[in-house]
Amino acid sequence: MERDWSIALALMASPVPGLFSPARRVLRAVVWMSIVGLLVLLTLYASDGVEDRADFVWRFTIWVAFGLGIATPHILLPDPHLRLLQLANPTGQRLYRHQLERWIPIVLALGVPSIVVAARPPVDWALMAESVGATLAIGLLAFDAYARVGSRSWDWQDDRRGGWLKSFIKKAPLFRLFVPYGLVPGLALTLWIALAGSVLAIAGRVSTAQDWPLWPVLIGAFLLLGLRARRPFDADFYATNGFWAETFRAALGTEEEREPASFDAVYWVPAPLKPSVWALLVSLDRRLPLGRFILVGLVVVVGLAASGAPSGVQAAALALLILAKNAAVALTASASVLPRPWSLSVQSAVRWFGARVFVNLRWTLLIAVGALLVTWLGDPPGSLLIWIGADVGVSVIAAALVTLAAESQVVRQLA
Amino acid sequence: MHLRPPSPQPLVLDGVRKRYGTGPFVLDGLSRTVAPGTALGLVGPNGSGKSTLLRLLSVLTHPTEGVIRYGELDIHASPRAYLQSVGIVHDAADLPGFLSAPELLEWIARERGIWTDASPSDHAALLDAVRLDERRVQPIGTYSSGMTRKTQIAAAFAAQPDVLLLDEPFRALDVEATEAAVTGLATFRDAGGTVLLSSHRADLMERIADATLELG
Repeated sequence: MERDWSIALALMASPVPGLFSPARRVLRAVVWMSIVGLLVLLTLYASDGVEDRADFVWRFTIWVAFGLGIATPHILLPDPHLRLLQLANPTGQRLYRHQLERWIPIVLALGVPSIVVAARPPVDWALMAESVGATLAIGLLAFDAYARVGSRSWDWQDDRRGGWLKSFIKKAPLFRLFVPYGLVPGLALTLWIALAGSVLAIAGRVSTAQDWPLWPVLIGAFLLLGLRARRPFDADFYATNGFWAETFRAALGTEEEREPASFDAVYWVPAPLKPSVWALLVSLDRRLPLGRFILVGLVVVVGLAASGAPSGVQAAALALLILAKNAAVALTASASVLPRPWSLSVQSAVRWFGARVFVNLRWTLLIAVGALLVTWLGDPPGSLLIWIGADVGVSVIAAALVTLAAESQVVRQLA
Repeated sequence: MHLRPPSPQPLVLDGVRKRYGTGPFVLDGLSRTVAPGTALGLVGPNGSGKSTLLRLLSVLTHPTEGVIRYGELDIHASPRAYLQSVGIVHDAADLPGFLSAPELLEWIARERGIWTDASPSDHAALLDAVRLDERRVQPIGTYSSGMTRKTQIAAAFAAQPDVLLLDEPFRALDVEATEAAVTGLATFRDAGGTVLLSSHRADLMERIADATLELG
């Protein structure tokens, strides 16, 4: 049978070809465009009435830095195509590019709010360029730092580094860590990225206020990152991916910080859905400490309300928190949480949809408390009931979308 | 099966210990040299560390203590240089679902810089050898588990390795394909290649392995 190789050869321009069908590529593009569209709408709403745009942008940039400090390894690692990449064994530079290509769209999406605010008439081109430059620099800094942290993580994990901290904790057990030692370099990076990002954001603010150009600082930052990108990467790639794969598989052998949710804890779920909701919650808790992230998000949202931020900003922050909280259910469609053939054998798609709705509703009470505080301390548009209703609505929509995506994968895989 | 004239090096495990976090050691003080032209079978009950050892050898994880060398090369310090000599059949079948088997092999060869005018016919012979039938031109995502396993084995050989690491390579293979895989591995070993494999098929292990490493 004759085969047209041209398409395959074109696909091979990618470091990992053949993973997505054309339809899937279109779907990914649509998803990305939807995210960008949503960010544009939210920003337009939040920045309505904002007079000091530079102030809005530098505060947002600081939040981006803090967010990336925490979220980068969760988004980036481990690479889902690690074993496949071994077969091809590309150069370190190509491995670096492969990971960077996965990362850049996320950073660019984070730059959208700054662009939207700066683009409001009259367009402030300098503010736009500098804020995008700062966001990009922070994103690349977070990427490079986390992509190369693996060797240090292994050294801490396996007692080749960090002896001083371990002996200190032995003497003062009160200060004992609640995470494996291997995560210490990652925690240090969280602080470093937040700090460096904040400095960059503040530098941007000062430069705008004083009419000093930020470009020399940004160009310097990009040059530094460019130089780092040229360093050998293959050992870092395998060390980092190996370490985070083990960390996220909860295979580090440490005792769980808290007991996993018991079956009785899902008493509030209808009986037919209880087993799957319980299984998903236990898996999710081990995969992502979502409760903690929501708490941190609530502190931010309530802080914004208490500090008298514009009502649009308060509303946008609360809306983002609700979206992020419900988006986490997408993890239940991953093969590591719920292998596809298994999902099919357990129950119908309708039931999985129901289970995911209840998984999302688990934190609705927390959101309600946050919304109550925000409406009490601040002046966001909408009443408490509307915000709770919004969370429930997004819970249902997110569950439907994730179930649809997961089931279509099942059908494709088993067809 | 197509074999690259081997430039083999010994694979040396030197005092290798591995544990996950603060848990018990899965591998404890493992020292062994696997010479070129030999096949080492990893045996032991479930959870004895066979897959952990193969994960270490495929640089997917790091040893807690000790070092693994390929010749003079510390494999974890120079993974790419090491992997250039290695073909791997992982237990999990992580293959691109929208490439066919010939396309996958072409991609591997091009990425590794070993693509030549003879590669298409070499790859066709390789896929014939693992008994992957004419459905090979379909996307891998449509393959049965046995066909996927055959593709994994062919992909490992397509890398033109000096070392083959195989985790349960015979799982899901039919009788004919199993026989072909055993013959291929034995031929590879006899040509100077190094084979490390885990399998619960003691009868097949006997035919391939010069020695076994009892774990657990």
